[in-house]
Amino acid sequence: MKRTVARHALFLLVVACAIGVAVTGVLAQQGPDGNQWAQYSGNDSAQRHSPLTQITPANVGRLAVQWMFQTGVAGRLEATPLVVDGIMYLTGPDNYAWALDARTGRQIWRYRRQLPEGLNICCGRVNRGFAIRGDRLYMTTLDAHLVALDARTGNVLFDVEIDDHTKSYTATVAPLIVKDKVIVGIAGAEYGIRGFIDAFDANTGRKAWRFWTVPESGQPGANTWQGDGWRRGGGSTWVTGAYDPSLNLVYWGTGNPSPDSFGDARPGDNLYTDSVVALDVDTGTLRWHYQFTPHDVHDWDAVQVPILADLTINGAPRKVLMTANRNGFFYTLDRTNGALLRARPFVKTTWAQEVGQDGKPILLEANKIGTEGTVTCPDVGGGTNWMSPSFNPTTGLFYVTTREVCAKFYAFPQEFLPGHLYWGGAVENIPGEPGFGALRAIDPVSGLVRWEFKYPKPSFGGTLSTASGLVFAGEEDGNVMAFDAASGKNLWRLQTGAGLRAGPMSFMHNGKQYVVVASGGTVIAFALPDAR
Amino acid sequence: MRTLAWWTLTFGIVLAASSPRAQQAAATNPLQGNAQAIGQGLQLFRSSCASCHGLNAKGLRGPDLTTGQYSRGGTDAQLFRTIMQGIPGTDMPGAQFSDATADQVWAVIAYLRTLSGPASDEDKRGNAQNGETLFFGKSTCSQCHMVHGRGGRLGPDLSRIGVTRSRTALIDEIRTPGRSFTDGYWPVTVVARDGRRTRGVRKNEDPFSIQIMDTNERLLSFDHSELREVIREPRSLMPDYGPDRLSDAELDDLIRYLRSLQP
Repeated sequence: MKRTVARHALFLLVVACAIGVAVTGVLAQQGPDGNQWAQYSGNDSAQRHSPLTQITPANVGRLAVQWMFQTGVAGRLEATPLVVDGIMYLTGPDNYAWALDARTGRQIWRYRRQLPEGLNICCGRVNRGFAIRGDRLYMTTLDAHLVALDARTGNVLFDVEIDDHTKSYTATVAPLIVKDKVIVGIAGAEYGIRGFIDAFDANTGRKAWRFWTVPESGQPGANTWQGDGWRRGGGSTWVTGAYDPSLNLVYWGTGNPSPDSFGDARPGDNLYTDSVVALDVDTGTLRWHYQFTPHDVHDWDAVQVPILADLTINGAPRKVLMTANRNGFFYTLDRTNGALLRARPFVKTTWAQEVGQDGKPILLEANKIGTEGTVTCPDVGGGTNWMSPSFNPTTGLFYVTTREVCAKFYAFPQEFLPGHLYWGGAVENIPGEPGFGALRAIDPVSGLVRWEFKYPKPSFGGTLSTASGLVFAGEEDGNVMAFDAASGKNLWRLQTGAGLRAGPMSFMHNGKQYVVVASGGTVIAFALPDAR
Repeated sequence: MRTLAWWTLTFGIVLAASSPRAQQAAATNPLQGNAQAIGQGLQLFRSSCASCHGLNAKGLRGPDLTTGQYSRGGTDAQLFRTIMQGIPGTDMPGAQFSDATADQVWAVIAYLRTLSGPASDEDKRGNAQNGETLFFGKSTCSQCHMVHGRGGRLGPDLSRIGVTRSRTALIDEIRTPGRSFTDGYWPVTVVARDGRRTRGVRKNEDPFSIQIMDTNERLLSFDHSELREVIREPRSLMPDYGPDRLSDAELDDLIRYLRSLQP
């Protein structure tokens, strides 16, 4: 069933009544140390929610630029910086990386990796950030290595290959530290890789385990492939997951099957592509999976950051995983077993009527594509994408940058050739219909949109929630903005001059709360001018 | 992992004028005639070029690439430079600002070489001199469009339109304008709180402000907070030039003139 923005708006009153249940039902979540921002998504639950309260809805209007750091490197920043003990750690294009004085923005050291020529990289020579453990930083590289750096010097402590870049493996993901392990994903599905999630020993760099996101013949799930398609089945894992210590599970989204569009090359559901997988942290064993888009032909990766929270649903406490998927549906799952609790479109969707009781989408005609082309919503960029969402346990709302765009999809037969793009299709924009974007606040209990703030362009900026009741967000036309988390009222903005493609973060140093976001190739730090 | 596809997104980003990844062109295509490369070039073309040049390369917003005629030169080295660096002042982006490698660009060129044929006889229809007279006279094109410094500013400058539009695309855009709009020329009407209306084309917009050129060619800026609404018109400001306003023969003349507008 189509659900338009207008229809979402109509639901606001209903949700406003229902939200009381959700808010009171949210259990306490672990949060980051308010002074630090030590993980890509802020905390294990990936809520991107800062407990800091110095910047409030009442004073955010006075927020001012404290410093800017221009990388001087061609290309855009998609990374979330980390801040530990007053030092900021940032990764950038082409695996440049920096340590900065978080108070002043002054550079302390710079690292640059010598990358080999001829890398096969789809979709940007970017990196999404460091992970940190003690005095060690961890970064994945475009030539599919994991490097550990000395946080004080930027010197390389170890450098291990994740997989062979000559086979089109590449990496842009910010690693996730869990216990003594560094967990990373991989990219390359547009070149027909076979995806995986790897864990490395944080001290030695030795491989601890690998989970293949596409099972080989004879393994569970292999019956969702035919022939040897699994060998080049895709399933990249290029955005950071989340971790629940109480269940000892790590949750990670997986990407599109290969070839992207020509589904006839891979009959079946193509597990575990376009899924979220729950893995035992110690062994990498699959505990459960949920596939959002079986047999995807639209390149709708499910790598969006999964957010973990405890909600009360129908009067019962539930440990949930929430995700706004590129396919246009918002999902709330039981993270103990993967059971579907709620699925509802958050943008216009024309490929599926709804998600059925069995957890599978009920497909519509617009899901089929071929040589003549089919107009489908959302477009290849999806209802949302890699941009980080956030969750505020107090409002009970999930904040996500959404995209309202449709496109014409084509599928063509294509022979697989190693090292060559393996899409089997094409995508055309719809003339005269550029679409638009919006920041939306979704109630994960009902799946309904509670408020939205529209952008003229479809955008790729992440969001940050704060305990003081603010949401920070960025958009494609260069604005960084603050909103009232409950009402969606815009409270502050600054035009930065370049589209924002990264997630904001916040930290406290010397009694001053900073909010930091990357815009184009510049990192900008904001604070209240008289906060001391 | 494609994310709106690198050619659409990364090309939209304004980067430094020169990229460290810019590739040097060899004098000739090392992949010419290579079957694998041609296949790869086809895939790359479908994914990164077809939105403007059409899936059959016969031109949409971008020019027809099947005629063997290229405005910036048709040697291997010239085509390589055009694709890698783009064409400043047009919608043609430079592949150097994306992840494209030299081999990928050569593969696209190898594919394009398989398409090239002689120019269509249709391109020889009409009289350019008559077309120019129509452009600046009866058809009133120059009220909104400029050519080499003569004409209006409300529509796109057409001084090099012969490079960027095929005959087919021009016919579509003259007979039924408004099926697509070029960025910077979307028709809008802004309505102030007191009801005062200003009609023009949108030059830029973000969630908080909008910049337009009104029908008197004035550049104006408004805050959304000061406006009652912004009406986004579904049609171009350009009227339909159907056969009643422009006969088929006149259309041929006009298109011959427009196609002659090349640097």
